[in-house]
Amino acid sequence: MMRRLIQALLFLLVAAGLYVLPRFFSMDYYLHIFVMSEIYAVLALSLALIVGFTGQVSMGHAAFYGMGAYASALLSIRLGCSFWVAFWLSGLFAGCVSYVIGRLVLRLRGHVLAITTAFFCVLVTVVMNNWIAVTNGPMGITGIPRPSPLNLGLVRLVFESRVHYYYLGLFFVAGVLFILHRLVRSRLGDAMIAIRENEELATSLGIDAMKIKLLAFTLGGAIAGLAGSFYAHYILFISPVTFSMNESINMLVMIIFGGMSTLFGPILGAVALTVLPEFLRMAGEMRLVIYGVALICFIIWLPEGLWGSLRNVLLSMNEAKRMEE
Amino acid sequence: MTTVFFQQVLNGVILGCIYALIALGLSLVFGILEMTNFAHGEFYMLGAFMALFSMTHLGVPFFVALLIAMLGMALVSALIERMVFRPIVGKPLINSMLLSFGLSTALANLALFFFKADPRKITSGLAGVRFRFWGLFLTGERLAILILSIILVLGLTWFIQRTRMGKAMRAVAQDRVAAQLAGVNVKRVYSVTFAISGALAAAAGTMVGAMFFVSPEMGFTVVLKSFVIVILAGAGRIRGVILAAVLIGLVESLGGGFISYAYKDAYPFLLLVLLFIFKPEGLMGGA
Amino acid sequence: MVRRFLSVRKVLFLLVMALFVGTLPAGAEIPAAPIKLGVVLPTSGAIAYDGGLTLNGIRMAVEEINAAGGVLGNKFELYVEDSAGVPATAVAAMEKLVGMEKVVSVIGDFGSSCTLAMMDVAQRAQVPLITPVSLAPKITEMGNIWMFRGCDNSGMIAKAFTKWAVLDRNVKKWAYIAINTDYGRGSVEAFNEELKALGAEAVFTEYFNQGETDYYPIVTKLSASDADGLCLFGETVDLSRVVAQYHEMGLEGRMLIMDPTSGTFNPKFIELAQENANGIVGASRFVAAIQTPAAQKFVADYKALYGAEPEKYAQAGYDCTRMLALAIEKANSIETDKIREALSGIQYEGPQGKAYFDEKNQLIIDEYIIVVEDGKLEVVAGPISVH
Repeated sequence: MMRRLIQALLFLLVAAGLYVLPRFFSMDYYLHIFVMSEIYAVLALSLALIVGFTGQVSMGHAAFYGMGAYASALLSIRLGCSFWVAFWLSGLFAGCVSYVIGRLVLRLRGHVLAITTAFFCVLVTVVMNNWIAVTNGPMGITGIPRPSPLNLGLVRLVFESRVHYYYLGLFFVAGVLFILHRLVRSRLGDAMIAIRENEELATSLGIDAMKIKLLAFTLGGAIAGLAGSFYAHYILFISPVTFSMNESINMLVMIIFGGMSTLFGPILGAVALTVLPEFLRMAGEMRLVIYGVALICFIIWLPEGLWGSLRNVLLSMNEAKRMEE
Repeated sequence: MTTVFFQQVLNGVILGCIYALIALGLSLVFGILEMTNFAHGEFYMLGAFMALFSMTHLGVPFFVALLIAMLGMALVSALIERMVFRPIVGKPLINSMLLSFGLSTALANLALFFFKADPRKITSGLAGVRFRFWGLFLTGERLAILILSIILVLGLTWFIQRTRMGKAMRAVAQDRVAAQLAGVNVKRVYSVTFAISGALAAAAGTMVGAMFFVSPEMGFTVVLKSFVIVILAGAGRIRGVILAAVLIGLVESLGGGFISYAYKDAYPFLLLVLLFIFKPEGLMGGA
Repeated sequence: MVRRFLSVRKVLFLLVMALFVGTLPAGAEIPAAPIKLGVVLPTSGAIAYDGGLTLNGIRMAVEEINAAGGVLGNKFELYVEDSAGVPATAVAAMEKLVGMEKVVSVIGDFGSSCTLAMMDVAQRAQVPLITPVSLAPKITEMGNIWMFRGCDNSGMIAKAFTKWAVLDRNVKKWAYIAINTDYGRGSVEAFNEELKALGAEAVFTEYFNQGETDYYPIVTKLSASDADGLCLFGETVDLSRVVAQYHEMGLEGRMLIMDPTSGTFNPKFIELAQENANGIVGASRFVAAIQTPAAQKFVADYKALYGAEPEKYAQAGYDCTRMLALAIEKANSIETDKIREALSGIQYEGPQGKAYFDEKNQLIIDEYIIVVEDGKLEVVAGPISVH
């Protein structure tokens, strides 16, 4: 009872903090970093579902992100869809593609799966670069419209300024977090973890591994597609360079940095790795060397990620306390 | 038209030889340590720089520089294995993937910092040598690659089939625990595996540096393609790797020449998809 | 040596200034704050080398302007941010410059993708943005009055070069090997349009990705075509490989090699391609071989500062900075809308020649026809007016 109350209070505190954040950091520069953090938080969460919870290493997540962005941009420019329609349709599109790809590649395991998904990402970039009639190739797509104003009763979001994107992004992250929280706490979530730990054992316990893996892959891809749509209508210009394989690796680094078998870890990793490079701007040429060495150190000494390791410490302290009592 | 076709086939085979040298080392590490080493491309880059600097600073001839680069990289990669990879042997796959990715980023950017971005050429003295036969063109450098890769592949095959170390490597690849129980020094096997892998990468890097250029970012693009070769080849077989490497070289050359060069990077993926549909156990699987 | 001499001069200058300020009567006007100028360029990543050249030009111009007393009595202060060639990072850099540093104008970016993504910020913050390099036609076609292109575009180059190549050199069948980016694709499009009007045609078009090493598939295919001119669009390193492999395939002398956007006209290319560089013709708004006094003074000063000859990227950075300084001078204000207005009506004369912006904020600037002879760049024709 007490615990629940504390949790609820904590939740309200965080929500209030996030609500008033733009009051203190009202400059567009800060808001841009916040919005990008939100987009990456969603991407990292959706990737954590596939890699962290279900244990299927995908290096092709940027492909679904990109497909969502292109689908949304094309739907709104060519067919005049409003953002609110294009957003859901692009998620649906990315989800469908990831279902088909998942069917094809999820039979594979480990390294082979990772490399194959990496090549899927390369394939998607190659198509974006060369299918000029649809994607306009490397020239990218300009003139993507902003979302039309949204009336939420209490607040009216008009998307002329970055603050409004920030609030919409908050809803987006919260929604994804809620769905994934429910999912991983359900029996499906247990099945996912069982597959991650030992697929043969899980199968022998009557879990349809392919179905569960496919579910995680499809849902993850669909959410990445939604994030792509949000990105496209935020930056208002997209081109293939944004959705390269490097971006997939960037997302993987985010979840390993934060801790990938939790829900808070990926968010932490996404925010940290969006904000930190801004601070490291002055490090100049050595920035990427620092980044590479930090990644090596992390994997050797903190393989559970920042949040995962912290949680382990807290848990063991709790455990020790209980032992004393 | 037939001349053009055979010229493309010849180009593809030479390309395949380079891929084979790179992929062989990768395949060894993959088979014996069960790791994906994304930094393998950087081994190849560093090897090329070693050869370049031995030529410009020590003034040694090209083939001596090639040897120095191979020995030097053998040492460096064994050292890297000891310091970076050994702590995570047996950890989940994603760890080794991202670890090697971090290593790759760090090495490439260190090279960028010290050697600068502008590309340099290794002058092998073979560039001027050109052969013309049946209307086909071949430069001395490309012929040297063909010969060198045959020598190295034969040497590697002999090493793995005939020496004690080779037998130990095969044993570890098959079953690590059993090999350990039978008295194999697994740690030494790991070091030797990385050393061989680094030496082969250095050989490829030096030859490519003579043919094209040496630059800090030369490693990244080549490593993904080599992974496809490793997958196509199936579980760690030399014959399979060579077959797959030449296949990828031919597909790129013929596809790039007759279908579309801009789509070239997509062809290996399509090859992978075809493989999964028709022969899920790998090219040489079941043979 | 030169640098040290300069700094001694600077120190003396500062001493004199300090004495002067010290003798001012109390209550006199203290000089206002420096004028903040923003720069967004890739200083890391794949195109860091080329971005650095533009930055060299910018820094040189700022140094000269400040040594001459600055603009409106104030010095320029540079704020340089790295875009790494990534659109979202470029937007962050732009936001930081206009929001946090409150710069009066921004020079940037290199790649068109980044510039296209930054344009919206410029419009919203109402700060002039001037790109020294980006070629995509859309940049000046979208009616964003805050966006300026401080260099020529592919359409202008195509107009100047095709006429010379088709009429003077009789190249009727063109083969293209171009980089698969907005730059390469956009250039091929612009050239094809001009070729049609001149009665020539394209018989071969292939695109390659940046950083490609093996061009044998393309040059082998090229050996079977009947083109009489090979037109290249790309950057230094990639094109030096294309040219080398073209010769390896025994194609020398079959076609006139053309490089109209001067991706190869720099010392690095000549070092890499060696004798294969000879005979390449192209167009450029600037090369160090232009013999006018203004150009030669610029080349000498640049060489003294950086120890290398300038090329068109450095020249563009230099010119953009100079044009902004002139615009601020003319506007007699550092309010961004007044700078924008002054910039659009500017009449500038730089190392390369006269230049001004047209009604779409596209710089109108002359072109030169260049050839490589014995490893040296020579001007064949020009300046050619393209308006």
